[in-house]
Amino acid sequence: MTKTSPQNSKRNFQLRQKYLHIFFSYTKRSSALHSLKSIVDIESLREVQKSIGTFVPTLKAEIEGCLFPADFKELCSTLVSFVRPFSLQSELIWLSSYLIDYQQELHWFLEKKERFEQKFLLGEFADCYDILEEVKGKIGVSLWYYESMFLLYEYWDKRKEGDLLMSACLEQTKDADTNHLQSLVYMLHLRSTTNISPYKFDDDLDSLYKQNKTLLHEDYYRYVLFRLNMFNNLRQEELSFNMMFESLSALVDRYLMAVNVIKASAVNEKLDDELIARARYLYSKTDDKELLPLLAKDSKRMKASYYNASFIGILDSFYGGDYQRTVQLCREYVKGDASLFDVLVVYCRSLVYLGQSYEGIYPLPNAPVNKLCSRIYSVLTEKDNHETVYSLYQMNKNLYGFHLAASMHVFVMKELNEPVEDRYRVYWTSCFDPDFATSAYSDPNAAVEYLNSYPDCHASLVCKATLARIEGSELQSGTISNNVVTPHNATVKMANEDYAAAYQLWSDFYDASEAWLPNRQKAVRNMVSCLHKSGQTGQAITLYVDCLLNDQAATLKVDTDAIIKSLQDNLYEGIRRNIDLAIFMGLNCKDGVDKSFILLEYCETKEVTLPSELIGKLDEPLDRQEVFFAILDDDETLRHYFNIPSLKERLNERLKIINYLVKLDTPNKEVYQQRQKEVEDALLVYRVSKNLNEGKIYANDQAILKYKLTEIDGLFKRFMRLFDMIVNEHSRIYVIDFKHSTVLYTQDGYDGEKVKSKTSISENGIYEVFYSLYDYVLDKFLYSEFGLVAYLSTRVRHGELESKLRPELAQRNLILSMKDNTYQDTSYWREQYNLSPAENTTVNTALAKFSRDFDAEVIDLIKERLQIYDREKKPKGLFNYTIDENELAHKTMEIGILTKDAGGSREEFCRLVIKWLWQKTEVCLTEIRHYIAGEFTEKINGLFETLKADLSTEALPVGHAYSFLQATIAEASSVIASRLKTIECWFNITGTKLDDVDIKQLTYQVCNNTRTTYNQIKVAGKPRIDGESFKIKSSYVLHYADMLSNLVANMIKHGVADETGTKAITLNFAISDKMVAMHFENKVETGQEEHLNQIFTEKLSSKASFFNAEGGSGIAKVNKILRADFQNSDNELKIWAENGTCVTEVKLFTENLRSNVQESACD
Amino acid sequence: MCKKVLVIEDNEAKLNKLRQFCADYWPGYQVECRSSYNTALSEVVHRGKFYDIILLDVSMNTYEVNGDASDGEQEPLAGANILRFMKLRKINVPVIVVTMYESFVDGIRIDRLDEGFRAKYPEFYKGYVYYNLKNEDWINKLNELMAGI
Repeated sequence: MTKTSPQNSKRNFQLRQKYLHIFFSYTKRSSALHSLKSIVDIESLREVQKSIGTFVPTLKAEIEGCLFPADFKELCSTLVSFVRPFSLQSELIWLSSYLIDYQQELHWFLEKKERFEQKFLLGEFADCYDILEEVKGKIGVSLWYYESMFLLYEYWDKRKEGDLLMSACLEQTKDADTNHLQSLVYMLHLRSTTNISPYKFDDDLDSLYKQNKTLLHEDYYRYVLFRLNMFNNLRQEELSFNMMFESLSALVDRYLMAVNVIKASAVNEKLDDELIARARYLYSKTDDKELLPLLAKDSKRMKASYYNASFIGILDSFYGGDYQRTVQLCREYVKGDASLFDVLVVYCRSLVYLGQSYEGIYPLPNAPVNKLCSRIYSVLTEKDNHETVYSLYQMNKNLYGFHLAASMHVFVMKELNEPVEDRYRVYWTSCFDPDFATSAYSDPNAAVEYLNSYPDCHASLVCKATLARIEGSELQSGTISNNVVTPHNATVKMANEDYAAAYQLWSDFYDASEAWLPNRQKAVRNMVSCLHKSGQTGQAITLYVDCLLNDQAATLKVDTDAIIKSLQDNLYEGIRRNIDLAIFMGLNCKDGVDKSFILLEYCETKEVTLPSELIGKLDEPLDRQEVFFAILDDDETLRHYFNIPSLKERLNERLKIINYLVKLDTPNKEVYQQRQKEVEDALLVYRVSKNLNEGKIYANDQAILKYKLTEIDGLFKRFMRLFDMIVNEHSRIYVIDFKHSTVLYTQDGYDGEKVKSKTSISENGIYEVFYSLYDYVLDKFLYSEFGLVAYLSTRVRHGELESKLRPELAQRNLILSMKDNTYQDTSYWREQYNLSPAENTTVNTALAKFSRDFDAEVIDLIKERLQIYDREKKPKGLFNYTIDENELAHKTMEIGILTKDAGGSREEFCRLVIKWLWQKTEVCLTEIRHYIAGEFTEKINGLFETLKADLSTEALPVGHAYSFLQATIAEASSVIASRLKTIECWFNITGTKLDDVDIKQLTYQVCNNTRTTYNQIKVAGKPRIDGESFKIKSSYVLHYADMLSNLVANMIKHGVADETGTKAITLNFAISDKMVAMHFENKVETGQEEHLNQIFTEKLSSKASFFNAEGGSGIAKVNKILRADFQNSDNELKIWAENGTCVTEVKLFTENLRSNVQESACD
Repeated sequence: MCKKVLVIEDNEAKLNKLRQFCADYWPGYQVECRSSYNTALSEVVHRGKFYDIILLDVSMNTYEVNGDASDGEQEPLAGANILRFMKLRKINVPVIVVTMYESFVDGIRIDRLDEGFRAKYPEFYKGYVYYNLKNEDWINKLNELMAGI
């Protein structure tokens, strides 16, 4: 035991006295405790705590809080008043001051944690369960415990148990005052689900916690981002809050957080001596190998266990090109340690170099380590690896608390082409890692010193290569594989701006990497970069397009943003307007105007006005043309192309391009045919849609479905799982409703009363999940760029409505203009009618009053009524999408059942929700029309009446002025009434709504469209339609068009031409009261009739094809439309061949097809 | 030779006010109007250099309204797109934005748009005027900006 010197003893006494005095000067205990955090060495702090403890027996408990909570309720029950931390240092010292008393428990826990991760990755789930139970038994529950348990259930295929555990926790605490950990555990549960939407998770965190009311909230929000999404939020300026908020949790959580914040400081290059000392102190108490990289930054030599010879052996074997041996070494290694992500990557890379298909790294196929490896392998080998990267990112979120999470995050980010540094991962690698040298040190000498600390450094190939990287020197081929040497030397040459030589090396590297996609991606990226950086941007773009045509996947990592930025900065000067530039921009530029500009200038060089006129004029090979035209078929580009004068012409332009693409008959033909169908439908809708001057309410629901709702996959799957549990098993599931919860509720923020969280917990979990889905879809339906509000703003609210009314009054001199917020008198009436000053005052007073009231009513209509209802912000809003409990319960079940019956897809679910939203919109619009026609019109009429009264004979003498004023008011009143009727009609839905259509007109249009589609085939024969036409209901228009176009297309495609090359077809329609009878004929090969009849019989009788005809084409599909879509089983399709003629007969019963709608007031 | 002003505006009432404004205060100017994004862009690109001033609205219809489905599409930042095209085509005709909106799609406010325009198009962007049906303050501001060209 060390003896304290008299000098130290005196100093300690003084310190104790000082802090005793300070401590007891505070009235609030939280502030008093906080004052002790200014003591910056652990021993002194402990001394002072001990002294105060003699006066305050509860002090130790108050400092420590609940270190080992027995259950969820206890974990969430600690309430404190937060005081803003002094610094990260002081928080670390504070933790260390009591952690020292529990080092054995921590040491034990860290071993269990490591063992849990290893067992988990190897798929030994029963052992994992035992470990967690053991941990709970010995040191209680923690955030770590719950997260691990949820994760285990998820991967053990016991998801239901996970849901029930979470639900039970919430039930336990639903009536208690809780801290923020309750909602945190809930979020950890979500993060551990395998079908989590990782991008949405990132976005949700941003939006969920952005409601900062106090500084405390702001800090808490940062903590949540760090706690739940650390690797995306490492760059925080101040990390001490994370420790403060975590300090309410169990000891193990506090410790794990402490380690992470020190590592985050290191990533931010703030790892100073003080922090290293803290890390060293913690290491001395716990032996936690997670701390080793922090110590390595400061040590010339680490202890032997840091140098993991097996790991370096694997890397050496890989660098030496002995991939067979590397595979074996990796397999051996993971049996004892699966936590090094690099080993898994090296394993997969070796398999690829060996040309082997994927084989598990561990014998148990379902082990998570195998799932990880198989995804890494797929990411490295798939041509389009988008979905696999997504699934790897999902898994990354699940395993966020694991040792390998940081490396995994960096791997995923690199695959996503997102900027990320290796420094993010090396501090989470707990053994000697050559990459640590290049990533953690800015000083090359220190980096070399680190490398040299490895005892076998000079014999190690990976160390040798790393040394060359640090020194910027080239490697000689020989012992190190060319797969390492070539890219290394090329990188060195690029750094030295020797782009020609670097290009050659990358080109060689590409040629040598035939079966190895990541190498080809790396090579193409750098070849393009070499050309671009050496000023040959045009060639860089041509190379990019060449690769796109021959090896598309290899272009995925090209830094297209850098090229586009330099092109934009130079306003595209000095670059040839050729097909390659148009392809490059069309594919990679996010700005529609720029894409359109390049296209325009390219067309100008070819002396054509419209892009479709390029068809047949280009000399480039067909594959290049195909890519060009396929990219060109894009609304975003063509919308800005001003030589196309209307939407109709734009659709026609697209159709011409697509027809050409279809005609090319390439492997993408089916995709083009699908597009062709979409554009044809759009044209049909265009031709038969209502006069859109009427309705102005619109949302592009198809775009919302296509682009905006993919991120709810995880939540949707959760909904369907809960739906099954609740409907089939009658389980009761508790969930948190974040919308109605306030986490860390306090008026005062810091240093106020004890901070509670008001969490709203619902026992009908499925309703909450359904509501979250509804809310998400609603948000996109209303507020996305395709949403209703964007259109409402530009079409109605922004001046449109006002300008429909006010000018009518201004023109008649009945409304005053404003200056400096005051209505300005008009001299018009005085000058016109020679009013006396008193009369003039009377008139202007009345007009000012009228102007004020009129403007106020219009503003109220625009700014208060024509708004999305919000109880607090817009209580008068008439677009009301709120749902009450009954409606929610009813719709949850209805949409749940319909979705399940339709196959349970997310798309179907979203479609049903959007359909419901349109129904709700209709209700709102009815309400709005009612308001405008009723209350609003009455108010405006009332204003006119008041104005008339204010300018009555009592106010003005009878004469010209009086008569004209009264007449003008009457006229204006009538004009405004008419304008209000027009405005009322704006509040109808456009775009989504088709008019009922004349069946003859529709038939001609469809036949004509279909013939246009096959304009390369000469067809003779026009439709002949007998009988009296009728209007077909709008809801059947597309079905009718679809059916007819399929039949006619089949006749054109399969009919036989005569000697002139013309295909003759007969299209006869007979309309009677009850049906439309169709009789079609076309020529077929003589002698083929029997064979054809066999096919027809098969197609018409096949039940399978009947039900699965969705999206297909031909006879089965027509049959499906006739029976299912027209909802009449009496409808009939007959088709047969005889005497060289194919006859098609359709009986379409029209009872439910006929429109019986009265013309509306708006028509 | 007579000076020319191109007014790009799809709101009839506002367009009339702007015409009247030109007639009242800038009688020497010949006024040409375009009322959709498409026709305006075409005019600016093909004949933009023959104008002395362009008065530009921000949001407008994509195509001319003919009472059919062409009306179904709006270009919320048409004015911004036209400015970009002018920059790309090096059409350095002074532009004044005349808007009656305070905020645009995605909640972008006019002052932020103005800031962006000033930074990106200093060669020809001269500022904006907030047009209001109720008052005539905009007249002075527009006069000021036009006089400064």
